[in-house]
Amino acid sequence: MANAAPPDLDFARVALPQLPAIARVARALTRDAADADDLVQDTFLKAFRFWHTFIPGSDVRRWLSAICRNTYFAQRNRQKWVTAVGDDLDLETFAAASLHKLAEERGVGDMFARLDLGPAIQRAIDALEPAQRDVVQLVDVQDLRYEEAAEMLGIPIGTVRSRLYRARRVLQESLIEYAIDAHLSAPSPSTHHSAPVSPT
Amino acid sequence: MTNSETCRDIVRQLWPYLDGALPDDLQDEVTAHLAGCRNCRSHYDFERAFLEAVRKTGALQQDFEALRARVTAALLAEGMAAR
Repeated sequence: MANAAPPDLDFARVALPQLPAIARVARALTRDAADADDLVQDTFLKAFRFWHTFIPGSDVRRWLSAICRNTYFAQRNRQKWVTAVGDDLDLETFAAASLHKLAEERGVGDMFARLDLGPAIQRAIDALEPAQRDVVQLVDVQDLRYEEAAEMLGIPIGTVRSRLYRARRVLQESLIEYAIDAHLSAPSPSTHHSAPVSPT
Repeated sequence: MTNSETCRDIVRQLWPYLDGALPDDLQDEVTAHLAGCRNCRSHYDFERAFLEAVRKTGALQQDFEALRARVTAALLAEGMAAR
């Protein structure tokens, strides 16, 4: 019968590869590079000490993320953020459809395929309000589910959705403006849309 | 329900649909509609391309080597066996 891997090696093999993901979570929480690095180190030290409580086969990223978040709030003795946000999800989704229509009219409807928008996207993300940037980092970049992001940030799921959809609209506005300003398409003479449009 | 009302409903669900956050039956309903509606499909393609571009940008490998070395050193000091 084969011996099980020593716990230390198991930790190195299973937990340590999650460092980039946890570093992004830490960055989203602290909004500060140096604080984030400290938090990552504290998270992994704590995880190592409690590695015997990890259930093999369960979601290690989620386990580490929970430790990261708990460590952060414990260190900061900080209240959970609960920010009331109006429920205007419909408005945001229709605004996104409207922006797509605007992009098509301005000849940049295929901008994501035609252009290297990487630097512009990064600038637009950096320019978001911190609360919006956090949810974009967690949901759009790290691919967390709404529930996971809500748990991570200590906010209701509805708030995650509101912030996320609003952030996406802001990002799209910025990117469409960038694409048009870059003179990568010939502007059409009839372009004036600001109100959300309904699809037909 | 008219086609326009259906399309409005579909657009309303696009973000959660793209995020895989809809219940299975609604997810299937949107998928079926997108297969047959060029206008909604166009919105979907645009939003999906946007999300892929954001994900790709954010996923650009940051240099975590220094942080990894620091954390590993701390873990070794804590008693983790060297690999």
